[in-house]
Amino acid sequence: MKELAPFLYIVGLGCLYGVGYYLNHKTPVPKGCENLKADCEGCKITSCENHPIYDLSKGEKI
Amino acid sequence: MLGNLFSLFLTACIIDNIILSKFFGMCPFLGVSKKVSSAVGMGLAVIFVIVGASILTYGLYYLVLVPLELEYMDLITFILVIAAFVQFVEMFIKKNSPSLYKSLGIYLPLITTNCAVLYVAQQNIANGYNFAEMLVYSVAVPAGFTLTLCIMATIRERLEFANTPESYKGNPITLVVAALMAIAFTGLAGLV
Amino acid sequence: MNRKENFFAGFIRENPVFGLYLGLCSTLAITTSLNNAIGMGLSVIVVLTASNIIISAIRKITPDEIRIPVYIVVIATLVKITGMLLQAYFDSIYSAIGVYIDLIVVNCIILGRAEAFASKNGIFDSALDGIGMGLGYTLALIVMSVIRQILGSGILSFANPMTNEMIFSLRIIPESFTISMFTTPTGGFLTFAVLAAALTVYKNSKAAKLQKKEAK
Repeated sequence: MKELAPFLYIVGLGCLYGVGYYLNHKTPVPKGCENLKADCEGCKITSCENHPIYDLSKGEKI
Repeated sequence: MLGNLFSLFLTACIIDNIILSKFFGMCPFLGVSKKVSSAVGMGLAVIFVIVGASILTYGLYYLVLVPLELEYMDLITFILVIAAFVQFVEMFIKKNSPSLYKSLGIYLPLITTNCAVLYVAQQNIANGYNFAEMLVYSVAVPAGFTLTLCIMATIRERLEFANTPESYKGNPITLVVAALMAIAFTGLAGLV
Repeated sequence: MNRKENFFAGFIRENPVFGLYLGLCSTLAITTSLNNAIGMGLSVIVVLTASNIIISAIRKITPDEIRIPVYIVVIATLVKITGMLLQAYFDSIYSAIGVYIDLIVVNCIILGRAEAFASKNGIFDSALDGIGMGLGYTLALIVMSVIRQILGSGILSFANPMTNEMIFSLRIIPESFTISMFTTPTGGFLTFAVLAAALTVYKNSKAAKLQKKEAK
């Protein structure tokens, strides 16, 4: 039984995160905040949805 | 006791400043330091997440991992707990407080993969802190982060009007400013 | 974009560190010595290649809604394994940069490549991409650490990571002329800023040349 504990533990944690991620992405953004973004320019990955020019390159591969 | 905690706070917040001497959290430091308002929002979000995630990971480590002898799972536990915590917080804020979401919630997605959070969770264990020290440390580090971020944002608002060489525009000039700030902060090293 | 171009893109033009500003935390922190830079670079190559291969292999069975959690579990496991191997065989490196090895988990290069490349391409291409990007990262680390070490301590040295024996140690700048600031965080920021600006200059001049050619 003791050997199984780590696996159960990881699966449990992973599921917790998975559920949180899923629920969070299902929850709609509150009214008036739809177009708010963090506008992070720390790196130049334009496929990140927080990058200011994300909208321009939407759907394009980098 | 209290004196110890105070010096721990000063060390973690200013002398060993997480950005200027440990370099963690560079991405938001470069990315969200353009406006003071966003710097404050980001800073508060980071303080909130680091304190919450530190308490959770600290509890999990000593109450679950140590009794089960699973200490080698620390890293994967920390990152999953942090990530899950951020998701649940974001969902909670979205549902309950649109105004809080406006000022703080939009920065939460940037925090999941913020090295500062993982670093604090790990240092709490690596340094063998007790609960009080852990709490002080987990407040002090993000406080130092917020301080640096806000100082940087005020400088960058002025920098917009400066005559920066073309190739230094954007991140390079920010890093030069950070270098000067780092010199200033090293000057405080004798404080404690 | 063909394979070869894709492989070499990470070296200079799309260098993950100076070009895309990814993985700055570890770059600035560990480039105080060449040994640490090479150790860190190799660990990142291993983790990045392995994670790219695994993520590319499971890309079709990963539900799109929870792909980020899946990536994070995969990457965290790989990082922990790499860290444990380093601790076992290269203890001198691990004791110097262990914290930064663990924090490869949140290194944006790994997750960024998983999301942008490995989740859309085949296993072989993803492996190549991992090696190319990893080499670009290592190259950036080596350039930075050589500059910082020479200016900061005047000595360029490299030690065998297994036995800690010095392999070579060259004094390039006399001791009284070294600038110790370069071994401190300040030097890290400055070196990085100058190198990033230099890459921008290079890119701009290349783009200008291309424009001229097209105009002709």
